[in-house]
Amino acid sequence: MDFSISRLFQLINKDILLYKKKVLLAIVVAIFVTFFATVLAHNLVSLNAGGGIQGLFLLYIFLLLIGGGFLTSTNLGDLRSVSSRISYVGIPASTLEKLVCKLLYTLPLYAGGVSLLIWIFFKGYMAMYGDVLPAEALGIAEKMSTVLPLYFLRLYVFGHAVALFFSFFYNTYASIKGALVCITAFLSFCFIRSFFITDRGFGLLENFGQSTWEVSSYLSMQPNAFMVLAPIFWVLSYFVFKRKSV
Amino acid sequence: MISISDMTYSYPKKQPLFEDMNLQFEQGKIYGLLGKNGMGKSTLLKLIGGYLFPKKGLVKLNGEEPQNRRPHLMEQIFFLSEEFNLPSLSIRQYLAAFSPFYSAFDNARFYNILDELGIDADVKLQQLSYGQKKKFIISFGLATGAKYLIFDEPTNGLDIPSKIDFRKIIAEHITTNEQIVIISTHQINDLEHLLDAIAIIDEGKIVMIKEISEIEESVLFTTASTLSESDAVIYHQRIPGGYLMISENKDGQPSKIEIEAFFNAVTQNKTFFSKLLNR
Repeated sequence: MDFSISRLFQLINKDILLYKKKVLLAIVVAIFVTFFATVLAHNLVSLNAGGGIQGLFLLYIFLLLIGGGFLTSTNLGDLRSVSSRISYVGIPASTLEKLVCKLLYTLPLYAGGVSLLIWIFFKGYMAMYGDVLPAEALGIAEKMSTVLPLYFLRLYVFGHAVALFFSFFYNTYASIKGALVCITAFLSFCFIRSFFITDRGFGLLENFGQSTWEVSSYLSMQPNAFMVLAPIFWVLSYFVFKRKSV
Repeated sequence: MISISDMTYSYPKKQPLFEDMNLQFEQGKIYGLLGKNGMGKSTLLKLIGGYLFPKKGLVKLNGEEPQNRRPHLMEQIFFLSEEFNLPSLSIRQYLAAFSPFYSAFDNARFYNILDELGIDADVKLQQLSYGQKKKFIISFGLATGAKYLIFDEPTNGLDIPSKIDFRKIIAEHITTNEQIVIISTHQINDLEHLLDAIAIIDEGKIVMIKEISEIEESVLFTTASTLSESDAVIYHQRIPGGYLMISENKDGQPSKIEIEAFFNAVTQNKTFFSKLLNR
């Protein structure tokens, strides 16, 4: 397996030259959205202190997940058309080097960068308004700021690995197709499982709803299991990319 | 050397395009890969470049399989596809982004070729016309020092002066005996005086692959105002002022290939030419 640090840096350098305008634009948008989320949450705090703080965190998380999904699927625009696939596949660097390059800035750089941005905004907000927040909101803020970021970072790692796999698997509309496959797989599993819920005496539809709720709740409690699944999708991504025809 | 042995390839859910194909391209030669549209020229070039994977058999470049996409081999391959896209960069930025991947990249040669082609090195790629973009990529490819230069329909979309420029720079800058150049085209006349050998592909098969000099030794190309009634004429076509006739060159007469007529003759009389040229 070929891997050279110098070629990895050459790939990063190439991507910086190619995408620097888009990256700068994305940073500006991320700052704007985080600022907007903070302002919105501050207004909500005046109506409902606890709910406002929760809203702030949820908006931050939404930003992390949606932004990451968008970045992961669009940075693989290199594979969208036949001509762009030929240019990208033809670059004299190994599959592993190309994969690591994409991984680097969609995973540690992106998640780290966005988390830092959120942390700065949150700390800034608390510094400005922490004194006037009701005790209930402060309690929620403290709890959420210690538990949620790690939880959702683990979820992001998993989501990223799945998005990366589908980005290599599909050439066009990868994020939409990938999301549809995941939703279909999830609902199919829940539907099949609903046949085995026999002790409640409900109809199939009610059992399906119950099954979906139970599976979702169970999965949401297993962030570490997601972390274990992520490397599997990275390895699958490697092999799909390695055998990618143009 | 590029060797293809017992290779079968088919696109998903389609009949095999190539079945048990055997073919060799030798170093130090410029090959014209000729064929009608849809006969598999681009597919064959992509298989050689490692962009597609044979279903069966092997494609090897000096003993290595391009489908493994190993960097040291990939920097020896330069593939110009019929459709290409260039990023929104200046020429110098493009060079900074892509040339470091080619250890033998020759900056001086690149700028010399650009200069010869009259392309300003300070412009943005998106400001270039289609023909200029194509010339730019060809210049880049020649400067990479790649051993395997694969051009898929390089003269499509070029105006007449650009086609002349293309022939000129290829002839001037293929300098080592280690290089193999394969140029696919269905505009055969664009490559006249440039090729060392011809490979003709038809209905998914290599009908023949021969050096031009060998073809001229075996095949006689003559022109006359009237059509010869002789049985020796294998193929004829009307040209301004008379006929171009192709017959067997039994007496070893001086002969000058007319590629377009030869291509038509071969695709219409595959068995005959196969026997004649493989004697």
